[in-house]
Amino acid sequence: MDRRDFIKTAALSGLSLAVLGCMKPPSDSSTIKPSITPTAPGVPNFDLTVVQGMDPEDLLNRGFKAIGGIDNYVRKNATVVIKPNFSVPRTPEEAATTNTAMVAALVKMCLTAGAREVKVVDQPLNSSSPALCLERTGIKSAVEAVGGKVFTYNGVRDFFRPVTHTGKILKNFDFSKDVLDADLFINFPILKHHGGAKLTLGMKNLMGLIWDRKFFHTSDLHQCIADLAAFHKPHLTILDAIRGITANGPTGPGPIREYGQIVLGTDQVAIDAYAASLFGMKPEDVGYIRIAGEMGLGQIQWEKLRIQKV
Amino acid sequence: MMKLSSLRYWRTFIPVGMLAATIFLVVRYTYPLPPDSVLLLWYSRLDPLLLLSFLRWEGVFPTWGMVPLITVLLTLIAGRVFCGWLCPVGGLLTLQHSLRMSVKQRMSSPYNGRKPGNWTNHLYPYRYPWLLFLLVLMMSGSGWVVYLSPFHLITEEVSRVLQQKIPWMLLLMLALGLITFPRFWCVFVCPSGLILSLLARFRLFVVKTPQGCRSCGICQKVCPTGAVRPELGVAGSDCLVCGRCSEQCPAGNFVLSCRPQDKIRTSGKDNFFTRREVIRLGSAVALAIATLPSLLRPVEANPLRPPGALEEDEFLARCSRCGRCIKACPSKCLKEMPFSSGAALFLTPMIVPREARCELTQDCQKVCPTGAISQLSVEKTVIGLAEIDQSRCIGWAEGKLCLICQEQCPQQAIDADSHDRPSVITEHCVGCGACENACPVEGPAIIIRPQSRRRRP
Repeated sequence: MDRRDFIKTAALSGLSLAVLGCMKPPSDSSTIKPSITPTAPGVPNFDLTVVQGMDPEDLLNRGFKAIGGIDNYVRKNATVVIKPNFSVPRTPEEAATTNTAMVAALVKMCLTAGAREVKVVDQPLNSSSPALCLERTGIKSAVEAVGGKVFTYNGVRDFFRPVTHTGKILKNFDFSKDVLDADLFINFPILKHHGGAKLTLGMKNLMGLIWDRKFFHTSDLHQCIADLAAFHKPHLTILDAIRGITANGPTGPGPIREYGQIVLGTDQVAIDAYAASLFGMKPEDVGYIRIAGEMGLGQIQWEKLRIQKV
Repeated sequence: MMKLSSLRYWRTFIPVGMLAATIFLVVRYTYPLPPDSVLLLWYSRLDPLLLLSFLRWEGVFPTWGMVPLITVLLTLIAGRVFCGWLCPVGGLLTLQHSLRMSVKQRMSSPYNGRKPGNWTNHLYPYRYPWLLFLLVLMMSGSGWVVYLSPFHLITEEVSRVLQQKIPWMLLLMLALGLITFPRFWCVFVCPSGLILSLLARFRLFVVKTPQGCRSCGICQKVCPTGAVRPELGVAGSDCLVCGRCSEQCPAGNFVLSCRPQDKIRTSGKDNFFTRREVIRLGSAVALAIATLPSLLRPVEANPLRPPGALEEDEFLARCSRCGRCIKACPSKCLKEMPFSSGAALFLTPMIVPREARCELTQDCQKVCPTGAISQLSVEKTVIGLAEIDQSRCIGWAEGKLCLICQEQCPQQAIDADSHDRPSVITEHCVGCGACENACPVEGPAIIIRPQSRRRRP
């Protein structure tokens, strides 16, 4: 790191800490204003950072080093919410859920960096038995072993707060209180096939944070996902593309492909566009990515993406 | 020879401990199933009635067949030791008896077991006709008989309590114990107990009254089953070998010793094959045949059963309504069928997909003590088959991209065409109900239909 870079990073982190400091947890009123701008520091020169390798812990360490260190993101005493994908009851080997070891490693990093509390949340697809996902994916034991909290939202209205949004379709809905109140919200999806939406990635992963998912399916799935992505952007998105199923998604089991990488960034649309290409599709062919691009939520032009490889 | 007063504390602690262990194991029947869940399965196999049911329906000697034979052997040696020491229902009734005795002692009135001359004496001749009645029902296909045996009854009732429902059968059993004598249930109702009583008539060792018996009758008052017969010098076939008689006897210790050759008849009243007895037994068979139709499968009844369930007729014959599958079900998709569904189906497990889907963990198969839910691989299972109503499915009728059914399906049994319209691949569908459960259409557009056959060839 040269002097200029150092000053840049320092200034940016200072600025971001100031911004984070100004952010107050939203009041518990019935509706709140959405925050559309990302509040954590981005990667100044890149849309996204690709880290190649297979070892989960090592990937995260190198990834965070490349984007300025975890201390840039995790404030002292911060509440961190991580949203991985453990929405189906599959084992880590079946590659249909976010890499459990990597989620646990991230929780540990956040706690080491001074976070007061790290919550790992999801709302599995099988609404009647989320315990099954907590067990089979191994996420419960892994996260609890490193001192994080892990739980599911299924069937508990109290986890949600009514919000209003200016989306094209999505106007009034119920969204995760934890995420709204978090100091740092990290979206941690896996790259895998999805029968209905073609691919599930960062934006699709956010669907686990809302109460009424049936509305998405009965209105317009892709538009709703894009609307939701605009509602509350994650401060950081980390895409698990170590291994993932390429068919029979989202539930699997299915054929597994090794991509051997993770992708970090603050532009979730760019990450989804990159991941779609990695999967072998044009970003525009995935409805919600195309719509998000049209809405100006992020960069979807594959050629224009600035990618840092580590 | 064994002095029975040495049993003083153990005869309460062991049975009550067995009850406590059973309750503990039933409470732990939740997802994820703990490794000790097999203990209850093996413990339940001590019941010889279960072996009879198994032999009737499977026709082969099971791998666990030696376990109930231990009970049989024990009974042939020393009588109803199982009932007095190992049975969880026995534990409950022992607890009731002990509490009652301690209260009565405090009130300084003579506690009683069974009073001589009690009206229940008149029931004795109906014990074996009742057993025959039950056995005919069981052999002809009603699982209700096994329900009355201790392990099944206790797990069902404990599950009821955990669901905050009223355990009617336990209350009935305790009430009978309170108004008559403590082990009324074990002497007159329990089919396993009656079988063991029958076997105990031929036992090797019996409890004998001490030398110098003054016929004071205290032993009869404290005996929980009313089995002591001072006039014969030995205990009857209902003797639990608990040793209460010995403790209170003013003349000395009762002893468990080899039975005297000259006194084979331990209970003068159950004399088989008199004309009266034959009429009673015959009526029992007739009554069983008359009762049977109401306990067999109603025509057309074919609810969605747990994965691996046998064909409906055999399922109803073997399901003991013990409720363990319902307790262990991770998604709580298994529900007890209501009383309104009729005597034959009442309390058997069924799946209501709209409330919860089957997760195909096969935990119900692992805990089923009777084999009514057989060990069957998921691929061969047919709980039912999904059927799409295209006129109401929003993928077909409104051209929307919904495909929740495909997203939820764990078996890749939903195919989508180029217009995102779903269809069911029947070879893959096992009927778990994930699709019906998640369908966003009110009064779902995809429904699991029961099938006449429950397994793929």
